[in-house]
Amino acid sequence: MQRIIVATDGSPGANRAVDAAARLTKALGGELEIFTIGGSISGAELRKLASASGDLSETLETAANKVLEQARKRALRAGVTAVKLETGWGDPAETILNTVCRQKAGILVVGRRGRGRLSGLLLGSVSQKLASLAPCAVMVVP
Amino acid sequence: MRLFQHFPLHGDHPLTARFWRSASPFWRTGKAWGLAIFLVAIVLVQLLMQVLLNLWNRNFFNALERKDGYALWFQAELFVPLAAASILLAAASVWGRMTAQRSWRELTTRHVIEKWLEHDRFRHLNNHLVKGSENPEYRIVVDIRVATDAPIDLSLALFSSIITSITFFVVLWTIGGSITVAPFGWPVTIPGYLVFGVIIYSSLVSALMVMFGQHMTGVIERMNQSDAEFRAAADAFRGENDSAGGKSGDGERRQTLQLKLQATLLWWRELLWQLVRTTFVSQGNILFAPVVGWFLCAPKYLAGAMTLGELTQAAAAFVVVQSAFNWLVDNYQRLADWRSSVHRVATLLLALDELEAKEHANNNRRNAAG
Repeated sequence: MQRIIVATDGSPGANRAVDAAARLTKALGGELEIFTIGGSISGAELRKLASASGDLSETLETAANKVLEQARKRALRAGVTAVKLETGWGDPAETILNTVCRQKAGILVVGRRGRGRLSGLLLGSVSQKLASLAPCAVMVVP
Repeated sequence: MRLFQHFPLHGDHPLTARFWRSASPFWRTGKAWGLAIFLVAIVLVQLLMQVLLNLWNRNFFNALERKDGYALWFQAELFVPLAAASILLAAASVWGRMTAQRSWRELTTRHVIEKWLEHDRFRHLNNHLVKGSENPEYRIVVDIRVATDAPIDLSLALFSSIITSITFFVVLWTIGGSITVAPFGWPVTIPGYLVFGVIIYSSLVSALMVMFGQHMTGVIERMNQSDAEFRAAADAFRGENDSAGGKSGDGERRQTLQLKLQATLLWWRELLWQLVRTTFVSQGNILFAPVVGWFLCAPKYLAGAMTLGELTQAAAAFVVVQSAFNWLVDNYQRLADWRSSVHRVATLLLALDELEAKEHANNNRRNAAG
């Protein structure tokens, strides 16, 4: 069975990628795994946590779970029945590539632009890296 | 002010009090008081040396201004014993401080170890009766050291800052005297204007520091806590793997480890930005403080009311008072480290107290039954 992995950060571009991946999974009768990279939090949010009593680990976990849950709902709405969810940590491109290799995915679906617009401009976007380095077919959704 | 909000919070008192209950016995020994008196005496003599060096500064530059070779040679000869005494005092201070820290750490650590080992409590502690009592080894080795090191250094620095400020206020008041300015055509005489100058300048630097580093203490505390949680997660991972016969950990434990690492890295990133921001102020202060001192004295020097020696003496005194005023902003990173270490030691002690109470309850039950 074809394994399809879609990477999301909850951005509109990533949501379009989730929709496309869900339709593709349904059409191919494959398995869908939704993947997100945890740990993206702004300096302002961190400073707010530093002066309050919130727990950063919990905040990160909740944020990652929220992104995954939203994506899962989208996929279910598109007609996919079984969805696997996973959170990775670290450099986005490297972590996604590792997951693709580990899960032996046949197709990787990503949005063209996520949340990291500035870092994308400076360092090259995650989707560009994935398209060049992934060992499987990569679908970049505009 | 937000800089101070992380120090005496209501929830802190039980933890600080619990730490103090185990750490205070040292301060009831003769050795502790002997060392404390020795260190206070050293600080006082160091202040005297600072005043003598400040006077030496004035006499040296006065001799230079007069081109008086004999007086210059005399000052050069005088500098040698002054410098030697200062160096000796600095060395004695290091010995005194570190001896006091070592002794305090020894007594506190022995007490905690005894409590930890008694009735195999170190084995039962794995149940984590109190949240945050993970990784007891680190708390015993590192946190007790930090918790007993910092108070001695910080208290001495605070005492030194207070008496230095008072003494050099007198120096600034005496040398600077009064100045007459006419802001709107009306002449106004400001007595001891250098004292007011240093107070205004120091307040400005402190206010900027507070503004730029307002989240610093919170970030440091959270980062230390995150470090401790990451270590605990790594230890738990290894421990559970060992007990499972070397099998690799499951996905959930790997996730926890990665999550804790991510939290530590994020706090580290935020500390970086806090330090970058405060460096603008601290570095600016290093450059500006002596120059501001010179500029404040310049009108009197140019008017012939101050000698070159007095100008350099006043500028040096200005920097000394300004540095003394910065005690809190210079030390709040260390204060935050100290506070988190005290809390971690205290939570471990509370967990051990809880175990001890359970042991007593079990013994009482057994005695009642028997």
